[in-house]
Amino acid sequence: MTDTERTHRPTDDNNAGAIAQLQAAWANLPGWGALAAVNHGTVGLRFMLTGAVFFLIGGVLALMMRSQLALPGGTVLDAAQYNQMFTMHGTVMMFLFAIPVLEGLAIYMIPKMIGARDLLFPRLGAFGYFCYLFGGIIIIVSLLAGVAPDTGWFMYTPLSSSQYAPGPGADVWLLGVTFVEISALTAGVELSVSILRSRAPGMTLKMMPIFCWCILVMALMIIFGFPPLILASVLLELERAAGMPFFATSGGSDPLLWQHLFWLFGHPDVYIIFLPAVGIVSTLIPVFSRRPLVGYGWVVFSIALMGFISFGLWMHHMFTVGLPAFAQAFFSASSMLVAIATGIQVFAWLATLWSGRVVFALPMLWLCGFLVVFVCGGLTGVMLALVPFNWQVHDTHFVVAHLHYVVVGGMFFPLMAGLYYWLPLFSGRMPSARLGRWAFWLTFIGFNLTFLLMHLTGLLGMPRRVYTYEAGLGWEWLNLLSSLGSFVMAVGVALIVVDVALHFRFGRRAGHNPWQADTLEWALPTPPPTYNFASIPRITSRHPLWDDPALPDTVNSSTGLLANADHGRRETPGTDAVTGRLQAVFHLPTNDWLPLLSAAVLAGLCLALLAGQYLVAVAVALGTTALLLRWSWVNGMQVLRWSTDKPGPGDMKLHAQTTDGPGVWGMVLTLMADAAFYLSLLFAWFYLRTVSPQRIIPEDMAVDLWAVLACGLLLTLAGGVYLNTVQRIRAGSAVALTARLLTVICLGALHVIALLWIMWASPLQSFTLTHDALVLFMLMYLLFHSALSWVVTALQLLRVRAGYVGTQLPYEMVVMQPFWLFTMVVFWLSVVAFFAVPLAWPA
Amino acid sequence: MAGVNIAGRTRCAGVVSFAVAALCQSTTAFAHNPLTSSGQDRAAGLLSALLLLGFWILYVRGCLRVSPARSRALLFHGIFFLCAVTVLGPLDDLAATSTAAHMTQHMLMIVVIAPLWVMSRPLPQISAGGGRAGALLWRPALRLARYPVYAAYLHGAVIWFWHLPWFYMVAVNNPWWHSVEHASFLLTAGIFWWAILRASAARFPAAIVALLFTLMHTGFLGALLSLSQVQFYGEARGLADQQLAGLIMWVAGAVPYFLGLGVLLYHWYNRRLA
Repeated sequence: MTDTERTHRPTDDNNAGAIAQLQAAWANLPGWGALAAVNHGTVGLRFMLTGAVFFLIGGVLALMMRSQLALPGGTVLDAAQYNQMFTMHGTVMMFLFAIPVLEGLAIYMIPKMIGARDLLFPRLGAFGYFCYLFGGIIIIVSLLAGVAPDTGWFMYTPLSSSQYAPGPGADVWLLGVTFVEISALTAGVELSVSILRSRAPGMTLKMMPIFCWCILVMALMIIFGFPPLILASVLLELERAAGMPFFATSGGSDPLLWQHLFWLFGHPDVYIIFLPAVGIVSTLIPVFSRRPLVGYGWVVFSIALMGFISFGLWMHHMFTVGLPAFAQAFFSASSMLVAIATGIQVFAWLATLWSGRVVFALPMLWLCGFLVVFVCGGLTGVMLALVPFNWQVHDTHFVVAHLHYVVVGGMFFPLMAGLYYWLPLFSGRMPSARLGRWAFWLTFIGFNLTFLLMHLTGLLGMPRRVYTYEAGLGWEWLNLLSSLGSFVMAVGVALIVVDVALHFRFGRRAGHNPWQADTLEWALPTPPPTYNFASIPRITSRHPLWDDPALPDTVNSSTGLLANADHGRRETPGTDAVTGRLQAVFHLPTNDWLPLLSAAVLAGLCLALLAGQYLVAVAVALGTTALLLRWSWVNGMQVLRWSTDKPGPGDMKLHAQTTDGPGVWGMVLTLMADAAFYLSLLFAWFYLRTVSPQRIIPEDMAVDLWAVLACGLLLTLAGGVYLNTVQRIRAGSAVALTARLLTVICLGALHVIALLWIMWASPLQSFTLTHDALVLFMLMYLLFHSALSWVVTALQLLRVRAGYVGTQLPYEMVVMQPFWLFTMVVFWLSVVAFFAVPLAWPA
Repeated sequence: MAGVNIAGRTRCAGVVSFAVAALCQSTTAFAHNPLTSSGQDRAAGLLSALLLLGFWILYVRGCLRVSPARSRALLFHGIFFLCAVTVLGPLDDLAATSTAAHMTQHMLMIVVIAPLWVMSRPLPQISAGGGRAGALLWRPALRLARYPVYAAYLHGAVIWFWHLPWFYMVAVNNPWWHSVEHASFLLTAGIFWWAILRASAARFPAAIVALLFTLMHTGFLGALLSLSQVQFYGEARGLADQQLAGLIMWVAGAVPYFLGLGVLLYHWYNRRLA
């Protein structure tokens, strides 16, 4: 018998039959077919395992750096290699470890905590994983090939431009990291929609676990915070590969524009990393204090506050670049204010610990370590927020010490606490308490030895990112001890790996809910089946397992909601975003090869671009587009297959028969990310016109306004007909649906041709002037959206003919409606920003 | 509903007389005081003063019919007083030469006066005082205030419009357009904050989106002003002054939006999420 069957036995044959059907519907394909798995458990574990591997690689890079710095005049690495080391260490840790591992934890945990069977876009999540895997492999391979990026993990221009970084390293970073960011965006969209729409019936937002709140805010921050970096990366890559001067002063731009765009992403990024860790802490502390968290509402409020405020602090990374003095003062103040939000949470935790009966199990050790280390890091952060002090220690090891205290203390320690806490859920066995304690103390002592002294090293003046130093400056002992500490920490980390690896074989059996926790995931058998809950529970309290000890029996039996799986579908309940009322049944996709294939083809595109084979790249891009369109087509076929089935239990409709399924929400959230991308472009445009010190603004706009207006008119007509058609179909009328869609397609085609003609015929100097380069980029952006709208509408016409779209199945058109609206809005906003505003704003 | 009792009317009359007295005392401090300026300035100042006075009389008339709670009446009168001082007082004078002072004046209008005015709940009094003619004016505004996002679009368009250098200088140089500018700020801000603070439970998500959108685009504009090396509004206005103005809009101006967000989320949390 498997572990699943051992921990809960079906009570009768009916039960066993229903369970078997569920298992059949939710099983992965055998053997290599497991690569086609899309369920959240498999995808989440893959994220976490891959992240762990990248963590170890990043750690090895750090050890090499510390070996080099242990003695003055070290010869372990030369300058060029050292540059690659620190760039890769930062890139690997930030982009390939921190975010993916927490995403993976969220992907694995969220459905279990909210009482769902799976996340709502399983193939998107799987696609994101493979993008992450392939992008990460490309970046690591570059290191082995000796062409790793070497201009810092933040790639400041002009050092990273083709003049000063001529090799392929910077391109590897730009293309590889952007490829990996796809996985962050997919996770962001998937997690936010899932948390909002697929909680178990009865779970209101107020009853949601704090971890889910943290992930929700993190996911929304990803949606708004990543696009500025994506824009900046695309622009820099275009500058390097095609010579369009987006950041070069020769074209009139300002290298600081890159820094603004990067840190617009970069600061929210650290909170994106911090929030899930905070969620872990807020989950564990109540369990180990044996009482609910003090101040649930306050903690939710401070999480949301942190999320918002973090978008307005980015300039504190730029205090030394020559910002206006007033701006520095204001950002200094607001950077200190954000500590209030963090402080609220720290005090909530302390109050919970104080008023509870604390159990000092192994995860608590890591949490205590977190509290100590993170608070220290936060304090040095407040010090750094003081502008005069910042000027003294900028680019010294003081900053290195600070950032490691907050990142390792604020993310790694909670992550280890969470690892030890949830390990019994995943494997059914407990890790070794003794090995665990040794691992913690070695890591804690090693970490502090390395980085506590580093504060002093920085105050004594040792600069960052320099491969060696002279003897006689008073830095020798400090560096030697730091390097020693790093190896002690490495031993501690190695012990964690050993402990986890061995416990699968030698660990004591955990039994049911070994920590006596209150959240839903502990109601499941250990290890949990792919479908999580045999019966979806109805939630009536914030602490389901504490308030209803019989819950595990309920969810593992086949008597409840959605227990029946004889139709062979994968289903999860769809609930209202706020009240948690059951609204529909969401049907989800099963195993599929498309995510892997699409990611592989995209990887091919990435490699073709890296190699400079642009014709090949175009061909591959067309292939990718075809695959992705095929994906959307197949999506619809499933819709048809199931929409003709009888509705779900209790006359619940399948979501394809409604107009409010996950697809609409996913589309709207993706468009918000798109809007953030566009706004970053507007920022660059206005920055050029108003801030850039050496701006060059041509007298006349090279693009003819009348042509643009005519083009826009065509677009508005096409979009207007489409939107009107959707309105009619929602009202139940499919009169002349084909004719209407044909009108949209014809008008849309004329519009796209007009836009292409404008781009071709305008005398833009996109390769010499930043102004014209931005205009051309804006036109390409509009073209992308118009072309995509047109292609998808053309496909929809085919689907109407095939019977996949109609009054009974209005869903697809409703999903495309926001996209058409967005295309039109962005077009006219561009007309205003790029044509109208300059007229009222003479250069 | 309209319980017009003696005590209420007496109370209202008392507050009104106090307010009138205070206003008269302080007219001497007013700069665009119709009594002390001349020519176009005087005419435009007179018009502004008359419009404000007219609106205030409307409220007082409504007070006599439907007596408000004392705290609300006090809030309304206090805000009105602040509005009069802002529009006609010494700040207006400073604003003629200092971008930062001008920004402070406008920020007072759109994120202090407007939301506090909404919070004084003047609708019963205004509708009672305005009669059918008044209803023609404020009914369309109230209808727009049912759609927070559209109200935010309108308010945003007005803000960006008046910050374009060409239109900004028109308003600075021509007192009539200046009055139009102030009126448009006050009106659109009033509608916006009404939409936010009076949002029904079903409109909470839209109100939150509208608030975030406004926070974002005002921050964007403020950022441009703070970072710019170019003097947008003519050589006479200093760059440092302009940067300070930008920061006032961006950082100080964000606080009321955050507070509004807090109020909304608090009500939403308690009312709907339970």
